[in-house]
Amino acid sequence: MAPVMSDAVLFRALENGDHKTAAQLYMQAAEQAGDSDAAAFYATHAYVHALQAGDTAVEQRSGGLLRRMGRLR
Amino acid sequence: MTQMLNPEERRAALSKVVGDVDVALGLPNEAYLEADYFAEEKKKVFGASWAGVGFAKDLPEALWVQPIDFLGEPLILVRDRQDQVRVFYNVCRHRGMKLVEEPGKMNVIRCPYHSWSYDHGGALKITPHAGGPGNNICGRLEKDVTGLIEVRSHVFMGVIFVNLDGQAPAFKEANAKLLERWSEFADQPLTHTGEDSGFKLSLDTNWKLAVENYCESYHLPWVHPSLNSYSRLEDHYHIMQNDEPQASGAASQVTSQVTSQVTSQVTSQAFSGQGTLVYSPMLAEDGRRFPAFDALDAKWDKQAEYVALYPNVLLGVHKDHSFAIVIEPKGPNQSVEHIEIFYAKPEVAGADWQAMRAKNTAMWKLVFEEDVFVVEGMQKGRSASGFDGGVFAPAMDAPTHLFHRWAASKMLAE
Ligand code: FES
Ligand SMILES: [Fe+2]
Repeated sequence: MAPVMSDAVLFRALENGDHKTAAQLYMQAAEQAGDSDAAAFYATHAYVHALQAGDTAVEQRSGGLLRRMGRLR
Repeated sequence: MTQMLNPEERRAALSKVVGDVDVALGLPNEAYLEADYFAEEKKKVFGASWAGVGFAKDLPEALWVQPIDFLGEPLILVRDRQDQVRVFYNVCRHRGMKLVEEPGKMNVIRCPYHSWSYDHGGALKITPHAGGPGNNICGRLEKDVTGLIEVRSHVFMGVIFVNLDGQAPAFKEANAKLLERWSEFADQPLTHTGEDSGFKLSLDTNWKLAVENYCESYHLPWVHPSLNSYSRLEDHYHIMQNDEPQASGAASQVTSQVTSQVTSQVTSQAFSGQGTLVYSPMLAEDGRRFPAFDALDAKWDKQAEYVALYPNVLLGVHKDHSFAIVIEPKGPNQSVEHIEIFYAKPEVAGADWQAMRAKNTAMWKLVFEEDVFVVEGMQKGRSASGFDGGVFAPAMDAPTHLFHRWAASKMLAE
């Protein structure tokens, strides 16, 4: 599995409880990930942060990706 | 000196409470002092009834979540997406982490431990990595089954009630008699105007003493001389609703001055209190009065009623406002009264009613503060080990005795 992004922007977003930014960054990471395990890992985090942000667009994108992979009911 | 009774002594003491008002004694001292008794009340008195835990107005919009502690139980009060008030245990179904620490609007209820996330109906949205990294499906988990544990709840007169043991009849069934008595008020929308219409009183007293004092009008001339100037003792009547199948000796106290209205039906939720025949609404400086609730019977022009809905909610209705007091039992000798006033019409929230609202809140604050020394004084008196629970003056104390009898019979139940 790919290492977790060491992205300063992401950590700042997490620290500040900026779930919308965190969701978007994780979603980007998921879509750019090289293998499906990494993609699912990031999409999971994108989904949780999207729920918290109330960001339905990212919620649907990450949720859709996970469901297609059989990793979310 | 401990005032704890052994099971046999307790049974004997409680049996004296459930007798008729003219021979009964009050609850024994241990009921006001001992942690053991308090712990048993949690189950038998509060858990088995519909108890007040908060106010619907504290959930100002959909998706609002308010954590509370009720008798040591962590709960969350929730306003769901459909605007319904719901109550859940504030605990994650995974490893039992407490979910919510601070009130607020939240899009999802996420456990801070492993991020299991629930919607406002308690259903799991996701159990992240539960099936291994990146896999959110775990064979054991059914999203809709392993949701938050819901506690039965109901909103009445602005108060959120819960039935912790889940065994009580539905709220409307249990409280059919009060709903009928106050049918004209029960479904009216209430306006809460914010911080100027509520206050709290922390009391060094057992929760029951706050209820007992509220049940009676006997103390009005002595403790509330200002009220008595317009609401004299002889203008008050008793209100008593038993939860037992048969009327008892307490059922018809009629003196030349105080008439009692007594009915007796099977309900699981009893109440008692008093009414006044001479309610006179407050006047603003410019002669205005608060607007009244819609379509009230003419009798409410002059009548107002005050009822203790057992175990711990005190209610008052007038043609132009109501109030509710939730007594939060903190321990055998510690309680907090949460008092909130509600108006009949939304316009009362406006700035032009501000002075009048403040006056009304100040008036009630004075009345309830006048009661503090008695409820705390009765608590102090209960340390007298030779005290037998006290006697009741049948003409004046029947509503108070009804509460004692109710509380005793709950404790006597197996
Ligand atoms: S305890 Fe709540 S997610 Fe693990
Ligand atoms: Fe009083």
